[in-house]
Amino acid sequence: MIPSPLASSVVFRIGPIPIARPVVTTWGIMVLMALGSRLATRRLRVHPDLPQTALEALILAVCGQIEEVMRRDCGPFLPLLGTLFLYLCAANLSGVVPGVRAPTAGLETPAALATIVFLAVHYFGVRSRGVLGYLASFAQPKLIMLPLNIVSAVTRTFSLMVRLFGNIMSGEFLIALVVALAGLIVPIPLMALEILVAIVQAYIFTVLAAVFIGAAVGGE
Amino acid sequence: MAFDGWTFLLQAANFAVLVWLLHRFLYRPVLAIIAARKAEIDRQYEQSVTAKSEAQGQLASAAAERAGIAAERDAVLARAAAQAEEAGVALRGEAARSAAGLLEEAHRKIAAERAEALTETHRVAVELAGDMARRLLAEIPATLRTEGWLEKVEQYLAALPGRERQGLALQLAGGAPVRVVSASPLPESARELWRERLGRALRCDLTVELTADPGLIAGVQVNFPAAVLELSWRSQLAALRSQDAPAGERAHADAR
Amino acid sequence: MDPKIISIIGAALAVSIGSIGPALGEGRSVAAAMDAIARQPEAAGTLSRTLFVGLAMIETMAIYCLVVALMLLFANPYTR
Repeated sequence: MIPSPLASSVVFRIGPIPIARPVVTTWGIMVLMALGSRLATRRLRVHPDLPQTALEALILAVCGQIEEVMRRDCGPFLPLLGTLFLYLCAANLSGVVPGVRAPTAGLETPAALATIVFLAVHYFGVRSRGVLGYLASFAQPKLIMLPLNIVSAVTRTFSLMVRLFGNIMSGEFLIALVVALAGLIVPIPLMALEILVAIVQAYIFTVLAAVFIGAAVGGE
Repeated sequence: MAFDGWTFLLQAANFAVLVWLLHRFLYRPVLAIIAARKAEIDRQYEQSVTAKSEAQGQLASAAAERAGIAAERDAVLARAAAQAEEAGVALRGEAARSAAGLLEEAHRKIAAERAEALTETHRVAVELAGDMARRLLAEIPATLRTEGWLEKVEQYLAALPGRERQGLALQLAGGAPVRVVSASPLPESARELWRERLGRALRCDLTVELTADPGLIAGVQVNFPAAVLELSWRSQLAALRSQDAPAGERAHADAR
Repeated sequence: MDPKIISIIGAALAVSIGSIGPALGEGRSVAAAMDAIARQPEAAGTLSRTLFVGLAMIETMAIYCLVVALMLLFANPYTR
């Protein structure tokens, strides 16, 4: 019997709290990223060497994408959206590492990320337009669009979650099936495809989050 | 459908922590260093702009200096040309002046020479005339030559005021002779004639001595003890010469 | 009929029929994007980004079907 891809196994418990595998993987990713960025940014100079140049290019590329989508300065949004992209890349690609299951292949992690994006949309919207202004933006362009906008705010969050979860989970499930059926060499193209899908999904999740936040913040 | 609420909450918390961590350790330093580099680049750009404007200013000043040098050179050239012109004009003027002076000098010299030549010619002419007259008069008899002059002497004495005539008579009162000089020797008979005629003119008695002097050409010289009456061609020629010389000079001045 | 058999047939139908529409849609959108890039190569960056986002949106439909199929197979409350 194939184990359910929807379930997540519990590794250990801290008191009453069960710690599942995605949480442990995420901790590992967190530690790696925090240490890596700490090491990478420890000796920053005005005249950079090669690793620093690569790091700055990465940050500036993310920043440029955000600015291109949102048409405004990326400063306030970079921590959230940049971290979203970097974490999703790491989490999605961690599925390629043997013995590790991608956290985003479970339902809970995409749900958590989508919920955070949902809250961030309202936070930035209120901060940019004020409470009344942001609430009034739901009645745009006509009052009759109000229920539609409200439903869309929920459903797009849900679709964000399901898209990420479905892509990553289906990829892993497919690879597991092929491994079970054909063995050694055959899954390699599928794994390569899975790497592409992982990065594309991270990019799409981030861009969609940026689009939502940008729409909430409003045009310049 | 298995959805673990704890996992959901933990993942949300994890992500929030990760956002904070990356913000703390990654974005802030990187953005700070990028901003620092931008500031550095801006500063260097400012410096380069300043240096460029400075260089342009120096270039402009150099160009102005060059223009000044060129203008100065032009001025010097113009001044030198003006000086040369002035000197040339002065030289030309001086040359013209000296030429005029020379010309005038030459004119004057020519005039003087001409006047001299004229005078000389005049003199030669007068002498020639005298000479010719003397030769011509040699043909005429001596008495004839003297007759005329006796009348002239009489007329002259008659024309004299009475006091002067009495003065002359007084000179002869002491018995001093009247010496009559003629151009050619006179005969003895002429002496009686001269004595009678002169005594009548002066209303007194007198004696006459006769002497000859060819230098008179023609005419007589009557020598009283204290006066000389010369009525001869020599004296007339001399008077003519001294009278005509200024006339010759005047004629020369008019010609110039 | 056994509910398990019905679930399996339902899952197969959901994936097979549910992927037809997104496949056609993705084909159309990629063709349009290629056309646009060929006409205007300098806008390739913006176009490809928009294309990826659009493809992800369309693909979401197929993913929904896949999720439904998986739920029928592994999280079906009627097969307990």
